[in-house]
Amino acid sequence: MIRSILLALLLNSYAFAEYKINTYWNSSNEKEVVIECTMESSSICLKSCLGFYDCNIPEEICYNCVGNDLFLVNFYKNIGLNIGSSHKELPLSKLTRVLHFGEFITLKANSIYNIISDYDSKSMKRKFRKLCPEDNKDEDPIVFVKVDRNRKPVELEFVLCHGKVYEMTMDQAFLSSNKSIESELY
Amino acid sequence: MNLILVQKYLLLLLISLSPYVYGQKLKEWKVQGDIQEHLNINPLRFTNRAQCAADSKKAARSVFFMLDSVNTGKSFYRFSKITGGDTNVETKLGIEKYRYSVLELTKIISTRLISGTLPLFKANLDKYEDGKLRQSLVDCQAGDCFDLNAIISDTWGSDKETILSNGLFLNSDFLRKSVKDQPRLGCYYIKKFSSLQGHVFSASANRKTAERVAESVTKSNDSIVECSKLSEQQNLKVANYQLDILNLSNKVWNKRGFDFWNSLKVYLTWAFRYSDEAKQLTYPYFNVIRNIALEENLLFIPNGCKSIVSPSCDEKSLNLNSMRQFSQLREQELFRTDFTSQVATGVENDLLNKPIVDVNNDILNFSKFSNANDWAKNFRDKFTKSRGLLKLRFINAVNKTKAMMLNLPASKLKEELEHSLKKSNDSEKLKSEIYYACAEYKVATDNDFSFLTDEVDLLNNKSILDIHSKTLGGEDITDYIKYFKSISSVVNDFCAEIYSKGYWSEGFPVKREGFTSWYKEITLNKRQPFKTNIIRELSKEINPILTYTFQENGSYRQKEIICVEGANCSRVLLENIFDMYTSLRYADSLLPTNEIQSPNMLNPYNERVSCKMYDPYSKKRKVIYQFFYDIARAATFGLLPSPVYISTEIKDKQVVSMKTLMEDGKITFDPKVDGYKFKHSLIADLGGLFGIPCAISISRASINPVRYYRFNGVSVGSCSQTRVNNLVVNSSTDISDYSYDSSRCVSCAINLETVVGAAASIEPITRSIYILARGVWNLFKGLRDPYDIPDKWTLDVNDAHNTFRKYGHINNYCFKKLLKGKSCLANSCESSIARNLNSIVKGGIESSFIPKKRGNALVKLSSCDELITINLKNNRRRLCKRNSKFTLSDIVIPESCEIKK
Repeated sequence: MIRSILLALLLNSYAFAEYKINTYWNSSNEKEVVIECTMESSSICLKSCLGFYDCNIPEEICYNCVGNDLFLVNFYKNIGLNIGSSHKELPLSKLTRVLHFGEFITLKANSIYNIISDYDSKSMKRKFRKLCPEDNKDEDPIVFVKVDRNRKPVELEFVLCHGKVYEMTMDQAFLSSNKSIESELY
Repeated sequence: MNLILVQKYLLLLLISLSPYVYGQKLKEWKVQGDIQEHLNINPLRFTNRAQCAADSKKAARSVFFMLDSVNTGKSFYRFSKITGGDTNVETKLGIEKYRYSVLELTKIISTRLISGTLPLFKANLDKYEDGKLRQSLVDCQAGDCFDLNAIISDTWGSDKETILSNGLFLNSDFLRKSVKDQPRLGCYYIKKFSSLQGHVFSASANRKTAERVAESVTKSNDSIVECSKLSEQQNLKVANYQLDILNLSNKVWNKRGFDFWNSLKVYLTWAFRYSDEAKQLTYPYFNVIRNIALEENLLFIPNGCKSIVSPSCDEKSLNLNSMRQFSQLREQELFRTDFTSQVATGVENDLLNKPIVDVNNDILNFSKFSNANDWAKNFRDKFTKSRGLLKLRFINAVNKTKAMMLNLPASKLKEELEHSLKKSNDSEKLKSEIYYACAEYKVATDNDFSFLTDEVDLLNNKSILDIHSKTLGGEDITDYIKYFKSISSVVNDFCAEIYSKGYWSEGFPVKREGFTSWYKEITLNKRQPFKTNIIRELSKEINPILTYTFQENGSYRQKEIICVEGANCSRVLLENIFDMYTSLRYADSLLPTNEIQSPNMLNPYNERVSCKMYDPYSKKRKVIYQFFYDIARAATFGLLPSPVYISTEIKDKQVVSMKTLMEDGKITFDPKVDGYKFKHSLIADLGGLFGIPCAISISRASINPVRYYRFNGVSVGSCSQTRVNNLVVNSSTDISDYSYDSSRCVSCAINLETVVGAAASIEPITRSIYILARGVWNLFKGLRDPYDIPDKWTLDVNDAHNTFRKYGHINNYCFKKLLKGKSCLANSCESSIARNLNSIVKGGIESSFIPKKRGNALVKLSSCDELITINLKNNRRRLCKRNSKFTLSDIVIPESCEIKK
């Protein structure tokens, strides 16, 4: 019962004009990406759900992800530091392509793969929210990560914020040496 | 009818209560009461230093496996929160399912491998011919197991014929038992390390040891329980198990033991994630559990001196074996280890500094902890802490080097250095920073001065780091090294120029604290457990040029400084290179892996033997060589001229340096062997010994490690008996306790002590006798060396237990029989009965009657009043064999006795 209510709440979290998309564990304890379209003609449902109003796309095994996988440790440790989002919006086709091939895993602030921070850590949630251009407290962004043929995470694909797709980056360092060093001494 | 039945039972009761049955007296056992089950544990193998060293080359039959459940628990807690479950119940259940599946899969795979239904994967890849199977194994070792998974998937559920028809495996890849083999698996959860693992606490065995082992069997429930009893496994963080492979002949095991363990590990990593069995065992959590990094949570450790992986002298093996230090270090010592140092020197230095170490003396500190979980928790804490430190160090180094490479190419850095130089006249801190940078680069990269130049090339060839670097979105390590070399060149040129211009006047003050900790570690030759923050002070004065930034509401916010200005950025880069270098040294043991690790933690001689730093047979060779030298001298004194040629004195092999070589991205140590001058050119004509009143008769020695050193007509070897001394000299005063063995070894009729003691007054005529006697005496003494002459004692725990129960103690006679692998009960029938009844019926034997020839055996158990009859009359030959297994039809069990399920 509690699970159903929670599920319903989760499913409501991404209300976008044409579709809602979220990830959750179903009653058989399998992880899925759930897509629900308000219109049959929504491009995402046309492409990812074969034209149906809704569909569930399974998220397969993430190899060695509950543990010390370097990619995930780096991700959860350095999100907000060198790992972030450029806030550059990407076409929705990026999402449909990823869903089509199935070579992905999804990460949230409260993922089972996050063994770095406490459950419901406010700081982690804040860092995730900042991946989106607008800091919306109801937002629970989903980061899509590409996996290789062994299903090990290898590359950040994008972040899904309120139904929109934004570019992720792992090189958030910034060189400020345009200013001459003479003016830096104070 | 009922009356008749009652009468029958009364009669049976009367008979059974009487010590006389059918006119035969039942012999009462001294220790009464119930006992635990017959333990499926291999005989304990007590070994001294040399034997332990020699054992490292053999495959273990008994292993511990330590299963860490901390990350599993964390993950299940989150899963339960996410799905709205009861966190306490679901976390505990998740951990139980995880443990249960690993244990059951281990048993399933082991059984299939032993029964020959699943093919073995050879541990040595060189034994494979080029082809799909070999390539898939090579790829998997390098991190890509896709093809191997497909092969295992096709193999797992198939019968032997189908597997063979696929053409990847040969008939010889299936384990073939000998006819006598009746292989069994023993699997126990270890509550407490006890005398049941007695060989790790003591390098020799005596009567008392055997009694302690017997008592531990009586109380085995306090120390071990069957793996399947999950209710006993309360600790949620860690669990220790013992897995034993029993009753496989040495012939089979010696040939395929390493392949067996290799195969178990390979199949387990696949089956845990992809098999139907795992799906059922973990139900309903398969899709959570299969994401767990099993390989980093599971350690296989040999239970004793033998190995799971054939020892080799390479960096990976040395690193893995160095994991034993996590159980030896005190908390505060963790920061004084090589992997927490600023510049790792590698494990091999430790080996060179400590060639001789203790062994089989509880070297892992099991006894310091009240239970096995506390020991494992302590080990785990230190291991994970070290792993965490190294991992973050590597991540940090890769991320920052990448950021610098993207933003600060060599030309840009040169500009920044020029900027800094211009402004440094106004800033003492900046001037010092330039000094530090120049000094540090001089030490690290100067062609004549540096040690790093060669070592950096090691990084270039370490493919495992490339994989890890790419996982972090980084480049190949080669690219970082190329970048570092370009920066080194800029910095060194810059420094040379300003130095030639006298930039730093004489007496320019520089604070020692300002140097990086790696520099201090090298120049002061002292461990620096913590990093000097080379950014903090300077950034207070100068706005940093390179930072991690974060976009917020359309603007950029500085989050963390990477480096401050030109000189500082050069230093930070150099520090990162050192961090990568240290990560390289320990990547095999501390960074994530695809393979279940199996360090040889209980045998520090594993790497000492494989790296040729300790030779278990050296002392024996020396003693025997000396003996020949003496008898040859005796011959020369006795009947000159006698042709005797003696080569130089035998010397130990000594490893004087460890040269690191790069081969296929793997570092292999090439021990330089020096001083090994012995030539087997010793020739003596012992015909001259005729007339000396000592008949040297050395014969029937089944093993002879010194077969090179033979004389005409006489050879010396060692005895094969498993006893206190493996060579017995039988003389008038020096008569061994074990006289029944002496004829097999050296026998000499001289009273050695008399002759040796009379050395001063020796007459010329007996000079050769004296030398000969002294030689034999020294041989005897030398071969009694408790440490460096290989020696072993094996003890079957169940036999020791039954002996102890029957007699109330273990006397010397029984102790010696037990060490020979023989039972000390009335005869082989009684020991076979005791072993089988312990497994089949509840209760311990209180009294027994075993007929010497014909007739059935009778046993009274503690759990029931009536006698159990064992049908020996017609099956004596079969039932009295050492490894015979009784069926219920071999025994008449009264209703009052309870059969074990």
